[in-house]
Amino acid sequence: MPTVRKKKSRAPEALTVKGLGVSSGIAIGPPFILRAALYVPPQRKLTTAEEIEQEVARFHRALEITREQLHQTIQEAKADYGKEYSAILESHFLILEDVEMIRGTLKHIQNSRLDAESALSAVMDKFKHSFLKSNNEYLRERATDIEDVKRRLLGNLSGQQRSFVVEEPSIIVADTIRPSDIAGIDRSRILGFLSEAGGALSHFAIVARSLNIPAVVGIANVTGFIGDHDTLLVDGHSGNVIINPDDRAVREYRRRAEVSRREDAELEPLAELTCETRDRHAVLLTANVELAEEVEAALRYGARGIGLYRTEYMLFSERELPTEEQQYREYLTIAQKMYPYKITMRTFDVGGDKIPLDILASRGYVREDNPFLGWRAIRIALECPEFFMPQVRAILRLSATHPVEIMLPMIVSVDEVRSLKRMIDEARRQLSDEGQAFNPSIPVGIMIETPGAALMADTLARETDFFSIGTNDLVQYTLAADRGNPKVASLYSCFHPGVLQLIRQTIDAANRHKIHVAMCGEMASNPYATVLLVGMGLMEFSALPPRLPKLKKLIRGVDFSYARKLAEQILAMDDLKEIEQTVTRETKRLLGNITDA
Amino acid sequence: MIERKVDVINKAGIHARPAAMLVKTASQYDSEVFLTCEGTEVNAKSIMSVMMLAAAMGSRVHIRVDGPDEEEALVAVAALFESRFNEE
Repeated sequence: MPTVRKKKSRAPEALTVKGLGVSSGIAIGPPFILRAALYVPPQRKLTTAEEIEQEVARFHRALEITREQLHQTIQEAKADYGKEYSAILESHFLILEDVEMIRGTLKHIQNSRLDAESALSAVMDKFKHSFLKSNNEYLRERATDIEDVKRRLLGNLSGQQRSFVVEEPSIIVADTIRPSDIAGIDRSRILGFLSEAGGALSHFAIVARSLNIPAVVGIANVTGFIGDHDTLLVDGHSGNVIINPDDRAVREYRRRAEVSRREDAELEPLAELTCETRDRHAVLLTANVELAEEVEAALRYGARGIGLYRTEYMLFSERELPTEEQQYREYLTIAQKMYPYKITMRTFDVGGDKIPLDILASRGYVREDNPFLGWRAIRIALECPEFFMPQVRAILRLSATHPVEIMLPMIVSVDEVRSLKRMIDEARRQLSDEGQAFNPSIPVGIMIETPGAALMADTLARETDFFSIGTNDLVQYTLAADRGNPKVASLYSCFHPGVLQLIRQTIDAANRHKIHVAMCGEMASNPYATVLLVGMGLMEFSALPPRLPKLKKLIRGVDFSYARKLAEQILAMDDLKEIEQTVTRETKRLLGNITDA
Repeated sequence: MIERKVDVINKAGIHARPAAMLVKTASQYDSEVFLTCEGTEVNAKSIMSVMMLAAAMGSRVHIRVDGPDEEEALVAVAALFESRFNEE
């Protein structure tokens, strides 16, 4: 729950709400509220017999589609989850076939002349409310089943797409913001994002950061208490949201926004400069990129390559796996824009919180109790060659003309690396047989994002050409804390001495075996960690593009010999607070007049 | 139209599973099947209605069936109550 503090002010009353800032920056403007997760068209009065007939047909069609979907889900659930879960779904089936629900909806369409969505909602809501009013607790809980079926039906009536037009620059407010929502809005009209759901690592938060759009999440019932005519002030750094801020607050935040604009201007010339410490120790700065549109910004901020290219977005726009040819063309577009710099391409990293259901369900995926410990990334690749091989072939073909690397995510054992390398060899053989060109010595590396991999770094280094440390998962798996869960979020820190030890082991193993070592997790974008990581021997930082100039300023301001000593000191500390205080002090000193966030 | 009164003698009363059994059984027949309990009558082919009735269920239920196969339907629905929905 956010803390809500009322401020003394003239009408309309200012209200400050605190959420979690996931993309920094300040936005001031009107809200554009996506009212529900589901788009429901406004109520419509039917006038002609044809219209009524049309709505009846639409309703029947939605029933049929939903029945089909549910049937399939039940079959899958039965096989994999046993009776209990499928019993819940069976009850949904019964709700879907409920004669009173169907009759009631048809009656509303035909007699009250309502559109199918409104008619269905009226009937379902009436049932739901009588369940909720019951003094039987079991029955009250069943109200969610009714809501669930209603949403399934509405989804199939109106389509899953929310369609809307944002006409003036606005702060997008929603309970959940989906990638498809962002894609549908002209960028220049998005001032900021405000949502109830979504953590710092949610897809939309990542996109918001890469597009440099302020975003705050974790505000309960946000669409409920913000009105269309309110003015919002969103501070994506502190997570503060002020509804109807007074003039003083607006002035203050405008001033802060101005300061950060000035800093950007001050940092901009850095993009052209080399990235090395004062004593000439070179460090590579690259960008995390997902969409082709981000490449230009990355280059502008001074990226010398892409250290993490997230390819899995391709799986979310299609119902089936993209073909090798589709992938090749997509990757080529990015590679051309980034040329002559390298691109580290991570093979499909789905599972966890990124589940392309259409594609995975047909391959035996079932809803998991613990998806972050479940069927993810290369675990899918090892079982489903058709998931992995076309991608590897596409990357290999691209390697003939562009500097690209293959990066394998979610490794926990050397055995997995060997198996995947055999698959890559097989792809090489196929391409040779077909007479297709590729770079025979294309670098193949792995992500170090599990404690198991970090502990085995010495062995893994013998099998691979590079490491890239993925800190988001490494921290979460090492400290057993989900940053998105406010109760334990405070446990999540990349400066935890245990995490630092794993990072050190990884970097040291890479150095011993003379392989390249990069970092592509959030820690790489965190200016407080920069000098420490340079001192530990990290060779490449793959970061959010807007962060790159600040990282470069830090690196250019320090001697490598000093950074090494500092790292040694910090690695000897056992107290998280002391570590955090030390890195904060050092970072502030080096950044001078530039703010730290 | 035919009717019969039955006792609810299973220990748990009518919860989700018995409600589902009732709806599934009633839906196999063309006849209309209604259940009445403490003054409320509901359609036995509507899961949401049966569950609402179930919550308020007393010990006695009145079954009313009307239609071409009413005899068979009544026997099948009453048998569920008599067998205590196979719960014990």
